[in-house]
Amino acid sequence: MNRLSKIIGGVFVLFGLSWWGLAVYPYLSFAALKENVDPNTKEVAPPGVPGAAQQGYRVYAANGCVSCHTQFVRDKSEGGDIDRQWGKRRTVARDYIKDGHVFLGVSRFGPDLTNVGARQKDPQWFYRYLYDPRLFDSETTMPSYRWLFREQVIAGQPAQNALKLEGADAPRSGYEVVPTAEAESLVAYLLSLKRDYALPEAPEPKE
Amino acid sequence: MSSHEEHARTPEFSETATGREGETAITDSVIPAVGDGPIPRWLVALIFVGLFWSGAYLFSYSGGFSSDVFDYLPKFGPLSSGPQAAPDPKVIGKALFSANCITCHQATGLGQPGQYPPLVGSEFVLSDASNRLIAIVLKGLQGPVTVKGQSFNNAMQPWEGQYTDAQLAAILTYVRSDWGNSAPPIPAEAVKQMREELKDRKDQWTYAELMKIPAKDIAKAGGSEQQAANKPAPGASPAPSASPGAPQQK
Amino acid sequence: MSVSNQLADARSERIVTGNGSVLRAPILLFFFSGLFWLLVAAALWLLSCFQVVDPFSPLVFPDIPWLTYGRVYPVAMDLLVYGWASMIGVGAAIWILNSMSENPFAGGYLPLLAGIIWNLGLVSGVWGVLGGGSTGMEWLEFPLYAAFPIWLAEIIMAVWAIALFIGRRKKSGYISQAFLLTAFVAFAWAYGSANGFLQIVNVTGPAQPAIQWWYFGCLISLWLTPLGIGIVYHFVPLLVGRPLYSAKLASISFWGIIAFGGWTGITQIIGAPVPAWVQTAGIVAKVLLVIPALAFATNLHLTMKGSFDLIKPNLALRFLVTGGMVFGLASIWDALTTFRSVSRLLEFTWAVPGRTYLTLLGFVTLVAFGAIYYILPRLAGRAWKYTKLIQLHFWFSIVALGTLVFNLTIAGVLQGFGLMDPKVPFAAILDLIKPFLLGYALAGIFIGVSVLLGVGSFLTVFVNPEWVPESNEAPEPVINEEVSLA
Repeated sequence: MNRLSKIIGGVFVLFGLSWWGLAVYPYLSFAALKENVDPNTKEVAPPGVPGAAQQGYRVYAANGCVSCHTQFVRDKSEGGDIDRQWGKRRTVARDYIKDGHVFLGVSRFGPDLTNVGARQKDPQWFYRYLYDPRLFDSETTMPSYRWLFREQVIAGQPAQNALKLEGADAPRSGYEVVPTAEAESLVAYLLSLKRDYALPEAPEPKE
Repeated sequence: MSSHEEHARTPEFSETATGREGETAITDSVIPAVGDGPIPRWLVALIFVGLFWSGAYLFSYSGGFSSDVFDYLPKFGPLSSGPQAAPDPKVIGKALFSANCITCHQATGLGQPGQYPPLVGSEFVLSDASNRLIAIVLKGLQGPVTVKGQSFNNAMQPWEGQYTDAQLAAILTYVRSDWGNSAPPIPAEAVKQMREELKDRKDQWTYAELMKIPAKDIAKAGGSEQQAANKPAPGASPAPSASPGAPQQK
Repeated sequence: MSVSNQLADARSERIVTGNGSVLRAPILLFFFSGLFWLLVAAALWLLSCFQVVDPFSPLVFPDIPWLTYGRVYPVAMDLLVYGWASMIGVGAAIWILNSMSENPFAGGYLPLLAGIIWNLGLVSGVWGVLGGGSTGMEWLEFPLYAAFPIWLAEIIMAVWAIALFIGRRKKSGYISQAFLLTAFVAFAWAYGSANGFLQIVNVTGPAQPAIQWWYFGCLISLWLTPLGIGIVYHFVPLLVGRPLYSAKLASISFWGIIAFGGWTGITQIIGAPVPAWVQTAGIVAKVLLVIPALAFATNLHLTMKGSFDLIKPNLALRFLVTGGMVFGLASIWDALTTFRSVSRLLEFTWAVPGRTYLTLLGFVTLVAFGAIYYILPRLAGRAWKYTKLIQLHFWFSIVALGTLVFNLTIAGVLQGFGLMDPKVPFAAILDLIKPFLLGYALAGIFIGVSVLLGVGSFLTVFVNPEWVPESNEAPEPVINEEVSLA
């Protein structure tokens, strides 16, 4: 029985070590992270996520976008992310403290999205990309997400956020394609993805 | 008999019969025996090497076990190695162009009919009034505009916040030299000068406002004041009527 | 002497009457369920392979929300792990733990309940994720209403296993019990903890990926791996009629995996915004994991020494030993691709899932089938007749594994070089790897075929001839010399 209790004790201690080191301790230490306030400009970094964008992450999660896209920028010494204009600097823990959900991801079958909101500021661009990715890259492996949109009759004036489509994608005459609320919150979330503020622990690398 | 019988079998197999009569057995009630073979020497060596290596690696690359350190490399100073030849701006420009500009203007520079203007043979790109070209990429352009006889009515976002002077100069140099375009390169100082001149402007240009900028071939060394008199002015702007489907505001 | 007689002599089995019959139902339930979920997983995986090759072909149901790649692929992976691998592992563990305990109380209703609850969890998980309720966290996509039943079932199994162990008649233990019991406790702890932190406490911010990827390490190294090793350590010595070669090596394999296993998950996201020491610890753990893996493989090899000729005729042994050896290779490959200089190339590419598949399909699946081929005839009282089918199954499994890992690794390397060079436009990288993605789709087809063969073999057992325990014939699939195998 003595040997058995040693084995049981050993298992609990060893497993408990990894549980503590990788689950509990990060939870405790990262929960203590505070946003950064620039002493000169009083700017808060990271800024909070605007309203509609806060729900957008649920659409991102539901459709498994994380299966093909990452959301972190590696240091210049660890990869070509910065050279690819996917970010001006690497991302650090404090970049994510206000994220309702962190989708770091492990696959780049599509580009990194950490700063996609800084690269593309036009919601139309996102709507059209989600409606038909082939508009932007005919060889793409990204599927289309047409169920995030609906076709409706043009009532008088076309809707403000109706998609500009032509050719095979264009709706029948008299109809327009508009994003559903899901699409709007998803695109608001994607537009909010930008790390264009400075953090002292992640300086921009020199050219 | 087979050779495996040479191995001694320790009598640890269960031989008791328990349970009720007549029940069909479904399990073997055996526990395999365990021999006392030694650990092979190569494995012992591997264990020592592994523990030694892991200790060294763990203590070198853990940033002092601090939660604030994300870079594993101990910082000894700049990691660059020696001077390098100045890279060709066209090559850099092409790479930068491929990162973002192609999503609208396409890799062929032909844009999208009705949506995004072409850059191939574009009068805006090739014009001597290179200061206006720089102004476009710095601040963006929105509203109705005619390029090569086709009408467009969209919004191009400002890029001054995304790229440095050198990067924008490289992109414009590339755009002016590919797909049959042939126009002088844009130096980084020209972009810097325009950025300084326009630093108070916050909005995107409209075509009318853009044309109000006096044409200046800022790309030429010294940025001499040369009127673009001999080149035809870029296409006449359409009547500014309230068009349906106004482009998205930034 | 015919092969089957030789085997019968070699095995030191004693069949005794016992209370084991009450466990027939739960083991069969786990096996049937596992194979069912394997079928579903393979079908969804095949669909996702085709979706990768051409996302807009009408064959792959574009524009149907519940069949979009982002939902189908995670469900396929979750079913592979929580459906197929876990359930066969649990079924085999029930057999092994029971056979070692000689406990008249076998509490068969508990594993049966666990099996039913587990299946309910999986059904609601598939429904939930395909319907748009995914949590968006890799390997933890099942929402709480699906994750909770699975965790509950695991708790029931852990309680049962511990009760069985405590009440055992034979006071000495065997290494498989250590592996299996640790697996049950570790998975219950890790799965409960991860879902607790991430879905109940709703940890947000940078702690979330740390917890999520810690859990992944536990899933592979502290749940599936110990299950597989426990199964191999039990059945292989029985099948070759020899003791396990070395208790010391078994000890090293046990303690090494327990010590290092939980730390390895974070190596999936090297370069991520987690502290450097966490990533370094993960790399160190993954590399050191080679030691217990090699200890296991050596133990296996030296147990088999002199009996390698038994691998050819005895198909259950073939699956088990091949699986065990692939585990050794997979650990070495994992370690080599973990070093930062390599991982910065292969990160985010197809090589990463390829690496996981080597363990999931190579080690876990082959060992699971080996266990099925050993246990099922004894459970059903039948001997295998259609050994040709099982042979085909084995070869298709190997071909599928090889095709899959080869294509994904090459695609990953090309993708990696493309991603590293900022001058290469992103779209060009996809063009570069297109032929290997076609190879990936081909591998998906092979996987589907091998799964069908496996399920087919499983089902044929019920039409096989009766097996009388007292006879000397081996109930597991043995290729009979007298029958031509042309």
